[in-house]
Amino acid sequence: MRKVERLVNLIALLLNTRRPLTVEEIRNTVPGYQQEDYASFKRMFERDKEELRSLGIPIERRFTDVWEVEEGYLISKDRYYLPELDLTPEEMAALWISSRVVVEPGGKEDQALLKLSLGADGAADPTSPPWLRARLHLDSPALPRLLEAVAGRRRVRFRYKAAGQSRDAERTVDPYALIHRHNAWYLAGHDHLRGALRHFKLPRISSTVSFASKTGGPDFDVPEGFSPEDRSVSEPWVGEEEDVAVDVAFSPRIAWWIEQSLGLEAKGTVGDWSLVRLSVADEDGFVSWVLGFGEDAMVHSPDRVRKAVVRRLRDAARPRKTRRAATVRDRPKTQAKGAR
Amino acid sequence: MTAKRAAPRTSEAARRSLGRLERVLLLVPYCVRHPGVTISELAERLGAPEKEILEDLNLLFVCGLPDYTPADLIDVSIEEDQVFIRMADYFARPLRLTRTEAIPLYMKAQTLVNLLEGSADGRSGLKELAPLRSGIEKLGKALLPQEGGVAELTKRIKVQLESGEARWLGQLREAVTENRRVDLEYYTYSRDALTRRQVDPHLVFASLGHWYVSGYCHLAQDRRMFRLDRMKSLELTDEHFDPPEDGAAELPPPLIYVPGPDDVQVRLRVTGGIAQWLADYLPVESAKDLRGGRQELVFRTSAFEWLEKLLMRFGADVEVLEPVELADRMRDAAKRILKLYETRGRRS
Repeated sequence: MRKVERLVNLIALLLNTRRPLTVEEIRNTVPGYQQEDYASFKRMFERDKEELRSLGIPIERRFTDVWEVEEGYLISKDRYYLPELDLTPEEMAALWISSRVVVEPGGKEDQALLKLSLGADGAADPTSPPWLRARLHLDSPALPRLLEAVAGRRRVRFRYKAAGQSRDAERTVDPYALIHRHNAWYLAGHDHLRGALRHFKLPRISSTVSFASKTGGPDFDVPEGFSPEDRSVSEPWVGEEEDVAVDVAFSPRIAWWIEQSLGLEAKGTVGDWSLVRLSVADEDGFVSWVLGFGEDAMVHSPDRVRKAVVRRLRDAARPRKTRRAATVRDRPKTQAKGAR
Repeated sequence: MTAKRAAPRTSEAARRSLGRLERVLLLVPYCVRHPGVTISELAERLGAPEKEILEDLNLLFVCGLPDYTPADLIDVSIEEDQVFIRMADYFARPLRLTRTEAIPLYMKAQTLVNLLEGSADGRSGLKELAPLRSGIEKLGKALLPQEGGVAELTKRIKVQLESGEARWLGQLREAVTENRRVDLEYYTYSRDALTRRQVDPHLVFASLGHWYVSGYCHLAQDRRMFRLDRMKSLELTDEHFDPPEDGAAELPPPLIYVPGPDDVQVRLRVTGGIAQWLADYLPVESAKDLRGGRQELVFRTSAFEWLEKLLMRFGADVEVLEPVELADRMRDAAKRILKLYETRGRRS
């Protein structure tokens, strides 16, 4: 009797029994357990049980009767069988589509879909719409473990090389959410090193991700006000400080793009340019962003921001030698003092 | 040296037999629910060679309930390639979803929800969005109650597109599925030009934080990719095109930089924080640490107009070391923009 046969028979037996079966009963019934001496049977049975549980098969240990003397095993039907989900054909199809549209393999989603389509009457056609695809870096190595951690609220540890740092450092994080933006996955969570909410870019994680506790979690609660959209930073100048209203004029060449992609409406015109009001928190970031539009954008007001742009431009327009000299003068503080 | 290595928890052989068991536990309900299913269909559905499916079916001949007499065993019969399984009603329903199955499904489904929500058509109804949402909702019941955290994933996975709400998805879907040519006004950022093009759209895709359509461009007379947010206008024409035969409708490879003949080597000296940021956008070949946390980045490109705009954002934090032409260009651009501020001024 081979192992797979033995396991199928064990599942069938425990799923069909009305009362918990003792180890001895199981040994005497399931083919493949009899020929071993008791100690090696026991080892074999324990291993089988553990492996079946690892597949998600809910083997339970219970007292065999009200006297609570002897214990036995069974598989509860309620916990084993996939309940009727009443998935409509449209719902089933939409789920199949999601697994096809996102092109990278995520894991065992096809097996899940197969189970679901068995539960739903009439198998759904696992074809994808030919018109739509998405590529989302699901093959990022840290992602499976972090998904598991987010789902189970497990505290994690990993080494991380922060932007601008030359070395990595160990971080302990309570993972709240995973966010895909700017072409990469980010983990949002409470960073124990900094004692605050931080976003970690997955490609900068430089080690494997491990769970910080052995208990199986959950290790923490996600704060009530938290939402992964809190930092829906679509542009670098949106920050957490107090906002300033800045009016920017955009040339007719790109005004349509601003309106479409930022969802902003022009509040007026300057000549044939459209005037748009933006709410700005991070002024430095904003100045950078505006300069990226070259001659097609101009800060209109307030004066302070306008001057910041002009300052940056004068600096960039300066001939190279002067700029070098400026850098040298700034560098050693003591020397600057002496020169004064 | 007495290096101790922990024994792997499950051996390769054990993993193989567990994989087989998982497949058997899917195969039996499938056959019970679809009497007469063919071996080849099973092979396709379960993603295994026909030979292995036959082996799976063969092992069932000795499986069943006590007393394991012919009357108690699962009855498998294969008649001219068609499979019938009887006496296995207790396996008619599959096992609940395990977390390893459910997590990737939640991941993909929620991702698609986010993508479609991030489209202007999403609200007005790309038809998959509503059933996808309600389907995900029902998935929660497929898990054991203690796995509730997995269902929470819908709130904890977020995909954001950089270019904001995508327009034109609905129109492009129609165009792709009906093979209809479209008429575009398109803004080419790297050349800073608005052009009118006729395009045969083959595939719409989300990648690198943006929506794209790939297809044959009649202006370029070649295959091209277009970002949806850079389309000023889009109209379906009554012109029909022949659907692409080769792999043209497949997803193009990730947008990686392909060196061109006009490429020039560019060397930049940048501050540390910006170096990281730029590395996401530029095909950096080498990065060298300099004093004061700065870095020297080297890459090749010919898209100077695009690069000029990108670098203009950083002012004195980026210094162009090579080529001199690029450094000159940037200075000229700064002067031109300055002039704008001086001449147009602020009249209000």
